[in-house]
Amino acid sequence: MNHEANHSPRVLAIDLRPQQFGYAVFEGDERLLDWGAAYYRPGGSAGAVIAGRRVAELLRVFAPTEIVVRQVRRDVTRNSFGVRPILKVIRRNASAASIPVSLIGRNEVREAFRIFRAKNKYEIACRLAAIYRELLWWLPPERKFYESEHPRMTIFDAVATGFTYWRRKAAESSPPD
Amino acid sequence: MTITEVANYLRSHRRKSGLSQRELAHIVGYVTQAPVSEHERSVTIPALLIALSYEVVFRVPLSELFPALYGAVEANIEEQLTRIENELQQSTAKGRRAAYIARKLEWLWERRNPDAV
Repeated sequence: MNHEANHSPRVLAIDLRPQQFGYAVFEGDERLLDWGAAYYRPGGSAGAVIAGRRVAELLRVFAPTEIVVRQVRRDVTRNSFGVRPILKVIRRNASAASIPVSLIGRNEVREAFRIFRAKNKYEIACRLAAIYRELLWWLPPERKFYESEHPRMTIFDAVATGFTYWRRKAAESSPPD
Repeated sequence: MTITEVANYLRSHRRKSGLSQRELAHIVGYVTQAPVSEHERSVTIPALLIALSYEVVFRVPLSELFPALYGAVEANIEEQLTRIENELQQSTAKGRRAAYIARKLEWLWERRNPDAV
C-alpha cells in the first residue's frame, strides 16, 4: 500500500470580533477540516493572549499555508479598536511560522455570494451549509429584527471568508475572457 | 511553497460526525476525554487498539487518519528494505541459502512492482 500525501493547500480563515473570533480550516476549497469560535473579554491584553494561544494551536495542528482574515470595517470604531490587538497577535504568530496573512473585505464576500443570490448573512450561511453539509446542524435560527446576532454566526462568517478566498484564487488562476 | 502534511485528521472526522471528545473517548474505551484531545493535537500517539478503534469508528484507514505518522513509518521502512536488498544483492552465498536469498529478492521486487505480478 502506497501512502499518497495530500498536498492541497490549507487555509485558516478568521472572522475577528471584539469579544470572539470564528475560524475555519480548509484543505482545498472542498474540504473543511475544522471550525469553531474562541471567546475572550473585550479590551485589555487577556483577550489577545487567549486568541494568540488558540491561533498558535491551530497553526501547529493544521500547518496552514495561508491565513485569511475578514477585514474589519474602519467606520465601526468599537470593532476596529477591539480587534486591533487580536489581529496583531495573529500576524505575530503567522510571521513566526512564515505564513502569509491576507485580508478579505466585506464587499468581496458579498460579491462572491452574489451568484447564489444570497443577500444577507443568513442567506450566505444557508448557502454555506448546503455546500459544506457538516455545517448544517450548526446553522443558527434566522435572526429576528429585535434579536442580537447568534454567537455561532461568526463561524459562518469565517467560512464565508475562506470560501471567498478560494473564489478569488479560482478567478486569479482562470484565464481572462 | 511547501505544504506540510496534517499530523492527523482525527479532529476533522470527529467534527464531521458531530461527536464530542468525551463521547468519542467513551466509544473507544477511555474514561475521560483528555487522551482523545491529546491524540487530536498530536501530543501523544494512540496505542494500537485505540488507533484501530478510531479506524473502526470513522471507517477511515489509519494511513489516512494519521498521514504524517504513516509517512514517517513508511519512509523508515522503505529505507530499511532498500538496505536489506542491497545486502542481499551483494551476497555470495551458494546452494540452499542462495535460494532463500533469491526468494527474498523476488519478493522485494514483487513488492515494488505490484502491477507486474
